[in-house]
Amino acid sequence: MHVTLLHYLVLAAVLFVLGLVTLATRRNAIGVLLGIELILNAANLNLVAFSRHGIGGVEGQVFTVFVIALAAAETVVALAIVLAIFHHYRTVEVDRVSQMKN
Amino acid sequence: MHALVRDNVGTLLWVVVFAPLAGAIVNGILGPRLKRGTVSLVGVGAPVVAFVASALATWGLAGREAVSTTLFTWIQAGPIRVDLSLWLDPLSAVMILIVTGIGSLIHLYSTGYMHGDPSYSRYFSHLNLFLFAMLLLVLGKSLLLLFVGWEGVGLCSYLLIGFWFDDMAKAVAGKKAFLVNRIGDFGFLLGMFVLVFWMEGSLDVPALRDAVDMGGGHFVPGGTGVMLVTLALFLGATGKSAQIPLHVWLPDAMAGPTPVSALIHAATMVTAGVYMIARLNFLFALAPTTMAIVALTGAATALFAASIGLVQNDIKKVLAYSTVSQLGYMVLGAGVGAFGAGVFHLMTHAFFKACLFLGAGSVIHAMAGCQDIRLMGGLGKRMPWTRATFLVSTLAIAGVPLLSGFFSKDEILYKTLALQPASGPVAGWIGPLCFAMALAAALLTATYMFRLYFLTFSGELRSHHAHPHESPASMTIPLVVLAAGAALAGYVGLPIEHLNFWEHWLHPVFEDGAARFVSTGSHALEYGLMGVSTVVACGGIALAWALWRGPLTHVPAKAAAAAGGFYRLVCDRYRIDELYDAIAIRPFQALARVTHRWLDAFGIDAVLVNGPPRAVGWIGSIVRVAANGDVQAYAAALFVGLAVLLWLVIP
Amino acid sequence: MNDLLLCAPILVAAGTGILVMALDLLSGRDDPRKGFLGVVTAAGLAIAAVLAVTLWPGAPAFEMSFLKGVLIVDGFVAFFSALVLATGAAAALLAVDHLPEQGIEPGAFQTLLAFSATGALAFVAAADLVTMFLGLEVMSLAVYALAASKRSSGFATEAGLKYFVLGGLASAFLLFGVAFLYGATGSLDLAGIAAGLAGGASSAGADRVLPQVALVLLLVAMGFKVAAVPFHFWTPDVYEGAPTPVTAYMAGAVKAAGFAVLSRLILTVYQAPSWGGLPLSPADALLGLAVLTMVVGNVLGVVQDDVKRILAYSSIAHAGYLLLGVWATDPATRALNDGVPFYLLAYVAATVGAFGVVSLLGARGEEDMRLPRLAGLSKRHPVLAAVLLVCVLSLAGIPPFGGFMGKFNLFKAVLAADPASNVTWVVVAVLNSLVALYYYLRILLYAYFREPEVVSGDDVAAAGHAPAIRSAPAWAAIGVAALASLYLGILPGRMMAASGSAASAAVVRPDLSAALAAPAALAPGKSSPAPAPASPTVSRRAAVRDAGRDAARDATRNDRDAARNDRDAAHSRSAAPGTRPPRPPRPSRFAAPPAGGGSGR
Repeated sequence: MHVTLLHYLVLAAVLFVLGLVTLATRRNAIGVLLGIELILNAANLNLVAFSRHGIGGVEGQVFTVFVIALAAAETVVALAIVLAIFHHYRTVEVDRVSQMKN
Repeated sequence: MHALVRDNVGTLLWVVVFAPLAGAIVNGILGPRLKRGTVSLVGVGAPVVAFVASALATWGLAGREAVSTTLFTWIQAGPIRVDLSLWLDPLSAVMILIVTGIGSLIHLYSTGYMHGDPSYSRYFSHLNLFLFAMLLLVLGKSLLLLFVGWEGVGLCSYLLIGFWFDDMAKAVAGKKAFLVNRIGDFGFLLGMFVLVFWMEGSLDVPALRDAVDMGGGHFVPGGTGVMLVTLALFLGATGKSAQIPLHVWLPDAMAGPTPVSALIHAATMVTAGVYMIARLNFLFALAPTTMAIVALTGAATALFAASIGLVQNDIKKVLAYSTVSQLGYMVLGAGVGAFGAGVFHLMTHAFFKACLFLGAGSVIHAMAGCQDIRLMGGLGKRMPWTRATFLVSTLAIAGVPLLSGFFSKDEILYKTLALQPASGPVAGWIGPLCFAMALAAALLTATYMFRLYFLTFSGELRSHHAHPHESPASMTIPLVVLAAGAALAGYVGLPIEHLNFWEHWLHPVFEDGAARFVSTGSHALEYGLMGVSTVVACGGIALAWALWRGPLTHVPAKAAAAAGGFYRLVCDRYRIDELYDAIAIRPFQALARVTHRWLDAFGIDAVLVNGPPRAVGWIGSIVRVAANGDVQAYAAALFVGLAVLLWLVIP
Repeated sequence: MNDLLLCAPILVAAGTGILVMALDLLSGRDDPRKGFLGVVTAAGLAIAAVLAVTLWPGAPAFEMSFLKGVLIVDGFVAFFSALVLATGAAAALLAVDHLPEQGIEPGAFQTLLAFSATGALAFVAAADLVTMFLGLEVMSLAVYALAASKRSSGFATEAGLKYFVLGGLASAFLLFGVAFLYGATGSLDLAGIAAGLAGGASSAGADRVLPQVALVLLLVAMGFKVAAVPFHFWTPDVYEGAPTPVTAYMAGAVKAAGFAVLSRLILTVYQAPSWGGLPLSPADALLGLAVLTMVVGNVLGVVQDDVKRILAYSSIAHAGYLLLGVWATDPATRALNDGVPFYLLAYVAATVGAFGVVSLLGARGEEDMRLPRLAGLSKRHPVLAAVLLVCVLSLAGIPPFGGFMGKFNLFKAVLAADPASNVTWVVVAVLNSLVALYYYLRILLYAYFREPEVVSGDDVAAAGHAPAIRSAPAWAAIGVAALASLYLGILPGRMMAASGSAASAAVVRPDLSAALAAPAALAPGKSSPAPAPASPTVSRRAAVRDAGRDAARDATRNDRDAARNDRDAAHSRSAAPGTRPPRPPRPSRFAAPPAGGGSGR
């Protein structure tokens, strides 16, 4: 079967939705983090696909490299925060971390 | 040197205005933490700096018609544009010299008078602030800026009358001054609004003058519009300058510290109304009817207040009614078209009345706060400086020849008879009527002033508790300077053509206004009137001597008994306060009570003010449940928002 | 001009971060003098701000050649960069004595602050979406860490987590939107995308849908950054939990940067109000967000009891007014509504001042800022109370403070954009301001008219007896904020003019870059009355301004109505770049006439 741009887009959309679901349902903070990564990678897939299928130049793929680097940095910050959360609450379940509310 | 000053008049003007403001800010903010000496230095230094700058600016002005300087555009709203601009012309030059010069002396005097007061720095802060506002009033190029200063001096007056606000009566006096002045301000504002429309946005005095010069439009001589506008403006002057019927606040204003009475309620602020009429002389001169009303108001006030002054026993109240009466002269002068003479009297009055008030302050200081002249007497021996300066000023105000008051008052009397509007439907009897009232007031002035003098300084001390003593040098030096001014200030305006420096100096300002009046007088009339004035003044003094010092001391009591009801009416100040109480204050209070209960408490507070917040709070307390603190719920809200937006945007 | 010199503000900001990091390492671990790190940060950011306003407005071309297509420098960028940098500097000063009091390590904090400001600069000045995304992430990552920087506090770490999770999600949305834009136009730089959208050059086959979806994703992401409802839920929690200087930075700098980029995207990329040939519904979505944001922000502000939460909802409500301003683009000028930059300036000054006062009150590790903490403030700390008074009244929009002039000008400009139909929304906004008055006055009620309750023992601090932190740098910062609020309210002229030039430079349009090549064709007749044009783009536009003002205005209005009528046939209207007739704007409010404005000194 020939793989078209549409295939990539559909896969990215599926990844996007999976990411959303992960983010919304996972109680573990690391899981939530993974949800964000999924969405970022869905976007990356789109960028590469558009670039690969001749819509833009190479800059789409270059952008992806930047995003991957940023995602790594983001993970570092996230893990530091999660560590601090664990230090304080003795848990990494995000729904337990809700002292502040209206 | 002169060229240097000449080129920098603009800068000097800013120094004049902002030096007192700087003093007010320093003493206002840092005052309580500063040493008393520093407070005095700042408080007195600011007006002195302003005075030096004023003198230099006036010197730099000489020979030019006016100097204008703009700091920035203050208001720009459609066609309306108000710059923060100062405007120095011969008239404002005279005024800033009076304000800063006499202001400096009174500040100096205050360091002695207020020596022991716990709110020393607050006092100087307010007094400096007053000077700032007054200078803004005088120098403002735009009527609106003048009005800002006008309100500013009103505010400072309120603050200083109620300076000892622990005393309820004094706080109430401050409030009364403020409220009565609001009535006048309403007129002023009304007049300004109309002028803004006529002038299509500009309220600059020079522009207004040009427009009047051009004629046409609304500026028709004798026109109804001009008459109504000037009447509204005059209502403002009536309030500020304590003319009938809005004079009631000034005697009560004596509740403030005595130097305040001298500076604000005698020498400067209360003359703002006269200044405003003089400033707008070209406009007022267009409306002969208004001018007649102004003249009649002034003459009536002069006579009426003098009659009350005759029966007062509080030393400051006598001086207060005297001030009202003298302001009547100034207004009369302006009303008959003798603007120069009005301002001339303003200047001489500033000297002798400031001196009198400060002398009274010195007496009160010596009597440990007692103000009742029936308890005084014989103070002359114990307080030679105070007595001498007080005597000079009393002679000046009484109109004894060769002293300042003689020249200025006589000028007004003469012009009252001599000047006639060049056109307009004004009856011929108004001039003579005003003259008669003013002359009677002159007689009364000489009498009540010497009554005051004899009861205070001659004879024997009638109080057994007081131990009077002369005041310190910081208080007597200003007295001497002011007394010298009271004696000599008249010589700048000698009634001899080529020696009348005053008229010459102010001529460019009053040119337009004066042109609408014709003089029917002659030298014979002028010198004849001088003789009459002299006789009247001396007669008044003699009468006072006879009644309160000489052979007829039993007469006043008998006369009072014989006059009966009328005497009590005068003693009660013609019961005008009671009249206002009955026709205005009580009905208003009743109305206020009703409005408060039904409109405020129920309609506004319960329904309009507390209603919506309660409703909003009720909605909020439901909506707030959404923010439950769970980050995943927040994320879900993001998705929902995204979904709704997508649904809305994608066709 | 040298390209590197043009980069100077960004380089200085980044260099400040590196310098502070180095200084932190060089000084001892428990050096008590670490407060100077904050002063260094503030000085560095302030220098960068000064460089930005000096170098950028007069830049010779709106894109730098060296980094062509990477950064734009013009009056718009200069205005918002200076605002962001000034807020950063203020936050650094506020933090100087706040950090030791709260047990936060100053070196890392100040370094992160400087880097965050650097990121914000790149975010605002981005000429392409890569730079924009990188800038956003650099700014945000640092703020996530800053929010959680008080590691000993559960509130702070919770704030960090919430901000991170939702911020990461928003960034991901942004990236997804960017990918779609790329797919729709094949370009990543703003001008190229704009040209692509306007030309309908979409080879993906998805045609109009892709840019529409992208727009929604971008709106959500930017709505998150500026705290628009319903993407605002993090705001009160994060503002409450984060150390207060960070809150001030978020409420000021991040929001300003968000609005700058939102305006750029909407105006340059989507070419509001014509929306690059898209149907008009994006405008309706933006309006809906604006109204929802101001209503919800104000209603929920009323029921709060914590000062930081009240100010958080206040900042949400202000985002609503600003969104209304961004929405109401005048069809004649097609520039940013010229009330928006000024409004942001006034809002940021007042908000930073108010949060500054709060940060000084949060002594001894106390971050609980319920209203009773303020009781008796006017007696204990009259100057702090006065600053709070000025800033809160400015936020409430009471004259003579900056907030009033901001609201006045913003609403005036919104009305001017379309007097007939916008009046409803202005009325809604004014009613909202009235509701807001309730909670603003509540703050002042406690500060001025309530006596502290007499309590014993542990509750002493909570009841408002604890002294404020003594801190000269912080006092300087809040003093400047309060004076700025006064200055903007009393003498708004100069800043109004700056706001006007910034607003008119907000659009980088393909037709204008075409016009750049042949300026003579566009400049008939008279010379421009505009003072100190913010960029060549502005002066060019000003030159066009005199040509047939009213006719053009009516023409564009008809144009717009026509667009409404055949929404579905939107294609027909999209013209190729460069062939679009120049649209001379109506007489400008911001280009002060020679004698006007407040600068007639």
